[in-house]
Amino acid sequence: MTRIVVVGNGMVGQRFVDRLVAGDALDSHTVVVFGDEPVPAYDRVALSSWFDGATSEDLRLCDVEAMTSAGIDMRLGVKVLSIDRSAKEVVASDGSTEPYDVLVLATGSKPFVPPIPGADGPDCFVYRTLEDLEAIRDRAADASHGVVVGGGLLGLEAANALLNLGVETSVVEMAERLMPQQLDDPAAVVLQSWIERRGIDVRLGYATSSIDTTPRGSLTMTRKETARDDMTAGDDVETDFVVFSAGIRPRDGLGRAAGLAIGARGGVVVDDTLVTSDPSIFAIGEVACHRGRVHGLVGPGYDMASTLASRLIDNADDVFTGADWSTKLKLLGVDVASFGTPEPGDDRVEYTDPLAGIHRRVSVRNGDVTGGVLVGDVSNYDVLHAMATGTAATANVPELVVPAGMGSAPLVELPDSALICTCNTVSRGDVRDAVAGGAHSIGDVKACTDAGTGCGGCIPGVTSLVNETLVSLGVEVSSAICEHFDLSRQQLFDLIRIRRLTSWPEVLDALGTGRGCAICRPAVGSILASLGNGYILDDGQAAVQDTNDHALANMQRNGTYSVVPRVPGGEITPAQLIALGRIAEEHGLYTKITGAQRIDLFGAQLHELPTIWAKVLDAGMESGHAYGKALRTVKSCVGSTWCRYGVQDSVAMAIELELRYRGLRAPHKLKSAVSGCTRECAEAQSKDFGVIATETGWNLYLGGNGGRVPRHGDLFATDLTSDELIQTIDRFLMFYIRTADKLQRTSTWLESLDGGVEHLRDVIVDDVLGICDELDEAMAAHVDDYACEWAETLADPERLKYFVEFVNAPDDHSTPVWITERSQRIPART
Amino acid sequence: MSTIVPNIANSDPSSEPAVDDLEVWFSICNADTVSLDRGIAALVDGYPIAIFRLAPVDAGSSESWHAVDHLDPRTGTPTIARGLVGSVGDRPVVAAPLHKERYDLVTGACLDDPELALRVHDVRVTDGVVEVLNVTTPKRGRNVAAKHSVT
Ligand SMILES: Cc1cc2nc3c(=O)[nH]c(=O)nc-3n(C[C@H](O)[C@H](O)[C@H](O)COP(=O)(O)OP(=O)(O)OC[C@H]3O[C@@H](n4cnc5c(N)ncnc54)[C@H](O)[C@@H]3O)c2cc1C
Ligand code: SF4
Ligand code: FES
Ligand code: FES
Repeated sequence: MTRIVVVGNGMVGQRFVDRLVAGDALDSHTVVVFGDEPVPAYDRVALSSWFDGATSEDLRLCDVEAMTSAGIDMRLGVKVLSIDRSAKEVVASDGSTEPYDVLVLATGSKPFVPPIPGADGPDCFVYRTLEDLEAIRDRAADASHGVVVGGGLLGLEAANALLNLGVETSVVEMAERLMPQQLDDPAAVVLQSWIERRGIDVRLGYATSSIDTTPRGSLTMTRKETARDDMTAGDDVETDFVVFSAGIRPRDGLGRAAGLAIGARGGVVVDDTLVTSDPSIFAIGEVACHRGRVHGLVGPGYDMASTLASRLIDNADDVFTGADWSTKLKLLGVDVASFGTPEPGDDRVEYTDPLAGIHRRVSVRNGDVTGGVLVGDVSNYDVLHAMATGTAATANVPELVVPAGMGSAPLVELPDSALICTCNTVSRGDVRDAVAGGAHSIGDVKACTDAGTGCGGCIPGVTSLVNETLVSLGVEVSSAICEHFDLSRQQLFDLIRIRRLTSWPEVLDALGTGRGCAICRPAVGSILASLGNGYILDDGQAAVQDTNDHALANMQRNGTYSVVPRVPGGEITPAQLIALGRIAEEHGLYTKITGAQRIDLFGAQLHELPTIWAKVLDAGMESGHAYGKALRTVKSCVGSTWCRYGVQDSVAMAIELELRYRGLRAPHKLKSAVSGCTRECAEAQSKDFGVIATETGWNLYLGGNGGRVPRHGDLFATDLTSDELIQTIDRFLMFYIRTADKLQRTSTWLESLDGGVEHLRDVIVDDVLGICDELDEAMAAHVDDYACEWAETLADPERLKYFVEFVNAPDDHSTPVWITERSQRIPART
Repeated sequence: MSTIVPNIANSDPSSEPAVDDLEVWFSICNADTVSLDRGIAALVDGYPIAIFRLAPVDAGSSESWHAVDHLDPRTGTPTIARGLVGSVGDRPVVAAPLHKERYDLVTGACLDDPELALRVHDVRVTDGVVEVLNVTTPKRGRNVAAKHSVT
């Protein structure tokens, strides 16, 4: 058995171990992993999403149980203190010594904190680990201003986080421009204008000489006099706390102390086989210095991990020859990409539109693209990147530099070898092969190629490549909703609306064939209901209502129903609570508080529903529409009424929204929530439309989704007034109802929308299609026409006829088999 | 208890009947009680039956009536009558409410799972009254032990 000891359980160390497991190395190797963070490896690249509500479980990359059962000895929270090269063992902080045959250093790097007096104070932070983020969040809770030192990629990401934590934010950068590593002056100017528009105060050419605590307890950052002393740097900054993001330094201390060769600017020196100056010791990830460079990106680290694993377990002769530093990402809402390695003497093709906030530059030498930067519009990135890395021949550069939508972008066929996901080194060919092999959705392709699982920047590209490939394989991407209608849901909606069809027989007669089915009937039912055709169980509509809509209740596994009254915003009076309790008791109903902040009563039989609902209505409550593809609930936190952090009345807003959209039938169910401050206790970002209070108004997130494939909503608009908020949601919902596919949640709808969120903004904010008035009217009509479906049903004896179990024996009922568990009645388990 | 009256007069006494073979048409309800393209449940001989009234599929055809077991073979719940009807090609079908398997209303066969089937029963409309033939003799398809008793 060869003993492999891995120091560091970060992104790269974990990838290495994953490769060992996947390669069945555990049969012939003993593996010990040390990690000094208390938690197993997590996705550092997505670290900032922790502030948006991603939990540390969501970010986790390492399943400790699986690792342990695979035979790996995981020592988390244990730091390796030294290497004894002659004895071939390491000494760890828990007092143990561990012998090795092969030692792998994957200790990553640490943030660089400049040696400024005061920089080690309690209000100074770095941005690297989950613990760092927790500390920053706690400090920001009662702070009003924060400073980020460093205007590079990570610094701007940190600034965005501070902004979202609700503190005023300044960025101070020593260089004369933002992202000095990647951008040139014009690009940086364009980026800066975007960032300042977000309300961030940017100081350039600002070197800090000391950080002092003022008598009031805040900090003063004293500025060094610099040679170029103009207005951009401004005065000394006063703030509550500081986050350093001024670069990284490899954690090469273990290697240094053990006498391994160290690079000029740090990092344990490795060659192309990733071996250090000691033949038993290897280094991968950010701690490694390869050909004089330390790679501060995860993609090259992953490459090193895979290369080393296959060398060790398969004796393969793979080598690591360097990496692509190209990046494409969204920073503070603006797209930024840089690619290739342009040199100062290259020819440049540039396009700048300061008004639109776009700068695009491509460098060319001897007729070949060498690299470039794109800010504000990253279209054609894939093609340009392929040209810069030599996988595609250079052509049509000027046309490619002009932004999307202007001029004619030439069709460039990219070769299969062109990379589409640089984080995981996935080529276009890999994606095509996966699709040909049966992965027909973006989710499947992600799962089998890893594409898009790093920074996520490549997902739109991967998605269109998947669709393109499906089409070329002849897999029909038919949009017809079923065999009975050769129309997409959107076409069906438009035709029903324009031809004013108001019943199922009319619709089937005019547009369909056969008898319809369990797919098209409810889809038509939903469209008819969205278009305001009155009571859903009347003639012409009853035949298309799904079982649940037809009984105005949700059928449960044993054929009985649940009763779900509306509890707007989750606010309920004690009297209503008592009434619900009494009703449940009288009818033996199982009672549960659900995730949607209401109370569901289970186990009612069809014939009992009218009696139960009459009692619910008597208690002043109404139908919760849980049975329909309609608005479910608008959750809320207690907000400013009770919570010491609350900045707006989230409960009142949630109630207003719930009452406005109650009963609105849609292609799928709709969920919403309102949080009273950025702490987001109501989890609004996981909702179809989520609202988070700000000091001055409301931020709106659209297209969020819990469930099997969770998705955070996109921040769509900030600091809206209540009226603006409601108008924006009105239009969003109506546009979704009109154009979504059958059973398509808002999240997938948004992702499939041509042009995505930007297009949505064009339509519902800038009204480029000229339909906003119509959308507004449609919503106004819905609000006017709303009626509680149970009140309507109970008022009409004709309508009650359906609530009989056996038409010829109204007094006979089937008796489900019940058992009792935790004092409540539940269905017998079968 | 139920008040179901066997309509012996309309039954066919062609041969010397064994008790089980006695053909009895049960009157269920007025035809217009059942809305077009929906089902209702009835107790026939104490057994729960789902009865569907389908709209004419085109100008040349007329309404059709179908009766099948009301018990869902997959779950044992009395729910089939509450399913949505439709067609697959020319075959009229009902989709089980809980798991949406589709059953051919003419043969009782399940289109989505060959293990499952509904028994089909004879149904007719006489003078505006829906009648179902007694169901004690299984016709086609598979019987399913009732997980629900009828009281
Ligand atoms: C906020 C943020 C955003 C980023 N965004 C991107 C991005 O968009 N794209 C991109 O490509 N990259 C990005 N990166 C960089 C990326 O996260 C790193 O390249 C990657 O994590 C490097 O992996 P690693 O395993 O080498 O180091 P790490 O992930 O840092 O892991 C090293 C681990 O080793 C542990 N360790 C160190 N010393 C010892 C010891 N003596 N004993 C035991 N354990 C030890 C450390 O505690 C740590 O857990 C980002 C980084 C941050 C912080
Ligand atoms: S989200 Fe609501 S409950 Fe949570 S801290 Fe903010 S105001 Fe308080
Ligand atoms: S490029 Fe980062 S995930 Fe694909
Ligand atoms: S197959 Fe359905 S229209 Fe239906």
